[in-house]
Amino acid sequence: MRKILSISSALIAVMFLFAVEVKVCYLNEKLSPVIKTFEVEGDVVTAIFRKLASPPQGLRTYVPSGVLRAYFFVGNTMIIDLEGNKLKGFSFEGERYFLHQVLYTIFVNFRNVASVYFIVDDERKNVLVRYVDIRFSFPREVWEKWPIR
Amino acid sequence: MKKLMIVIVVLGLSSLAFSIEIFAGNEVLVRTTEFHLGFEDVRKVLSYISSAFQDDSFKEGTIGSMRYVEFRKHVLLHTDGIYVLDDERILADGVPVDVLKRFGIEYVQNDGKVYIVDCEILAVKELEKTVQIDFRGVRRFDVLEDSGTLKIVAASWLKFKQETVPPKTILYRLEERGMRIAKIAEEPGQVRVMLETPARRDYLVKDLGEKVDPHEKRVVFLIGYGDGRVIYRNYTRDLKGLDFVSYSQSKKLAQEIAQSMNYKVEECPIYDLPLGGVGVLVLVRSEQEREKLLEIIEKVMQ
Repeated sequence: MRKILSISSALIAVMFLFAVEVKVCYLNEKLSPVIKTFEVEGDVVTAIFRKLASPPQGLRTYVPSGVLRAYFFVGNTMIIDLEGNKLKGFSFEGERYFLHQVLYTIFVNFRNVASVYFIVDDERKNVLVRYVDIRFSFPREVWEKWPIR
Repeated sequence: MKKLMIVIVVLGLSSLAFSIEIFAGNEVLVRTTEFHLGFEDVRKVLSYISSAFQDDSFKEGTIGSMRYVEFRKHVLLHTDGIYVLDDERILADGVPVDVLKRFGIEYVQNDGKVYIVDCEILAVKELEKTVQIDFRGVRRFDVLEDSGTLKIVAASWLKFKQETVPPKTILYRLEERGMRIAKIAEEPGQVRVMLETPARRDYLVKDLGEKVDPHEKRVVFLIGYGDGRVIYRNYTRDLKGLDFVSYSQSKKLAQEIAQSMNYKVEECPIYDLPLGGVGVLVLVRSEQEREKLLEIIEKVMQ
C-alpha cells in the first residue's frame, strides 16, 4: 500500500513537472465526438476540465467552466465532485452529453481508471440534474468508446 | 471345504461390518478395516475440513516419536498405539468416530458409512431476475431447470437452515412460465443463477417525465421528443452482475427498435428506467413518428 502511495505521489509529482499530452472530447454540430490532443502542464485532471470547457472554433461542448469541484482516486476508481450550480441550467440533452464527454475523456486519458463516480457539492445524489442516474459507478467498458451509435 | 468357505464368508462379512468409510460428497475420504479410526484417518479428515471451510486453525507435527494434530483448539496425540485427546487418554486401539464431533465436524452416520457435512447454505435470495446462493465449504448442491421450474437441490448431506438435510432435498424452488437459466456465475462461497424469460407481452408505455414504479416488472417504454434515438441503461459494476440480464434484454430491445425506426442507440442510465428491469427511452422526432413507434412496440412485443 505504501509502495502504491509513493508511486502515485511520484506520478503526480511528475505530472506537475512535465507537460503531458491529453485527449479531449468535443462535439461537432451533429453531436458526434471530435477528439483533440493538447499538451498540458500541472494538474492534469483540472487541465482536462479547463480544456473541455473551452472548445476550439467550430466545435461545441456541454462542459461548463468551473464545474470541477474536486476529484479523488481510490484504487482504480475515480470520484469526481461537481459544482451543483454549474449544472443547473442543463437541458436533457446537455445532461447526457456532459456525462458522455467527461467520461469518454477520462477513460481515454487514464488507462488505469476502471470506474467513475460522480458526486455533486460533496454529496451523493440520485440524479446529475434531473434525468441521469448517478447512484452507481460508470464502467470503463461502456464509456471508453463513444456510447452513441 | 464347505466349512472353510463359511469361515471365509463370515470373516469377510465381519470385516465389512467393522469397517468405516468416511465420505466427502460421493468420494471416499477415509476407509478403515477397523471399527476405529487411526491417527492418519483423523488427520486426513481434519485437514480436509480445514481446507473446505478455509479454517486455518489446523496444525500438525511431531515431537520425538509422538505425532499430533490440532484443530479448533482441540489436540489429538498419538504414539505407540496410545491416543490422547485434550489430555485424556482414549481407552481403545484407535479413535472412535464421534471424536470428530469434538473437533466441530458434523457428519451423518448411516449403515457404517459416515458422511461428512462439508457444505452449509447460508442464504438463498431472489434479487430481481437472479437467484443467489451463499454458502460455506464445498458446493454440494445442483441447480436444475426444467420447463420453467428452477430447483436448487442438495447433492449430498449439507446444512441448511440450521438442519442437516439429505441428498435430493429441494432447497429452493421457483416457477415461472417460460423461464430459463441465462447464466450461472460462480465464485468462492457464492453461486448466482441469472434467469431470463422470453420477451414478455406485458409492457407499459409512458411519456418521459411521468412517474414509473421503480419495481415495475413489465417492459417499460418511455417516450419523449428529441432527435430520434433509443436510450437504454448501462450496467454497473456495483451490482456485481445482477443487472446483466436486464441490461442485455434492454440493449437487444433498443437495437431492434432503433433499426426499425432508423434511430441512433445510446447507453445512459436514465433514472426513470427501472433498475434491474427491461426498458428503453425513445426520443421521437414528431407525433407521426410516435404513432409509428407504438406500432413497432406492439410488433416487437408479440
